[in-house]
Amino acid sequence: MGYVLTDASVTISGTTVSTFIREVDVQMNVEDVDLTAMGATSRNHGAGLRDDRMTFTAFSDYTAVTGLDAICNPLLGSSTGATIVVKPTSSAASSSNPTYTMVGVLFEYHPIQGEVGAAAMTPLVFMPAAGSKITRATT
Amino acid sequence: MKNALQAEFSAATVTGYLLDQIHPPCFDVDIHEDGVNFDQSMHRGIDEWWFKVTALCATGSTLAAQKTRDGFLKSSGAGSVKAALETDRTLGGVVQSLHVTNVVPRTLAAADTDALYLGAEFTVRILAAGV
Repeated sequence: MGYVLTDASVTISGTTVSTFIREVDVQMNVEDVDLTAMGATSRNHGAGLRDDRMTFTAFSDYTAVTGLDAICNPLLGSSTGATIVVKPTSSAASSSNPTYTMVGVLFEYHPIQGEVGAAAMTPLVFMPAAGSKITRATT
Repeated sequence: MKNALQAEFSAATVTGYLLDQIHPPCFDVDIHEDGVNFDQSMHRGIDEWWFKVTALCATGSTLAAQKTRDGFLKSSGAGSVKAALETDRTLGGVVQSLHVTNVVPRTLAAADTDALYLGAEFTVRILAAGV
């Protein structure tokens, strides 16, 4: 079934930032560990450590307190990170609208970026805080 | 946009819509051919609107009409349509941003009288919260 993404829900530390978000990418990755030994006729791929991330492209906003800049700046390089929850739609979490949650540290943020005449936008790249990874839930 | 134009060009007719009758100087406000691009961000956060504001200076191409149009075309200062529209880029907090991106000359003919009006068409890009 096709699905047009227009209403993805993104919260950071409980604050909904969906209306700033233009692109969302929740990546649940497992490192590919090569376990191939001599005599093998094909690669043996071992599932290694999780290497998740959440990346967004967002419209810049400098509104005090509620703007994206006010929300994201304190999270850059934060040792504790912030809880980020992403859902396909803004509806309540359910089996058809699962949540993807991560305690993430902001590793990339461009407070001011863009060419003349273009909408100011920023990438946001969150990596898991130590010991964290993306978890899926349906409630 | 109507208020912004009215504030700068008090003698001009501006309704904020297409004009029923043309009495230059006057301004038409209409949706641009590029229209509205919905859902630029999630959850109806931002729509992109394109407007065209047509300024009609005077009948014919008299020197006075051309000078009036020259004033409209200026990028800044008194008499500039771009500057007038961009005085408050949030339009009183109604939109998130407004940008007059370009202007081209226009000469329009009245359908009933064939009178020619010297003018200019401004393209305006607006980013606004979805409603």
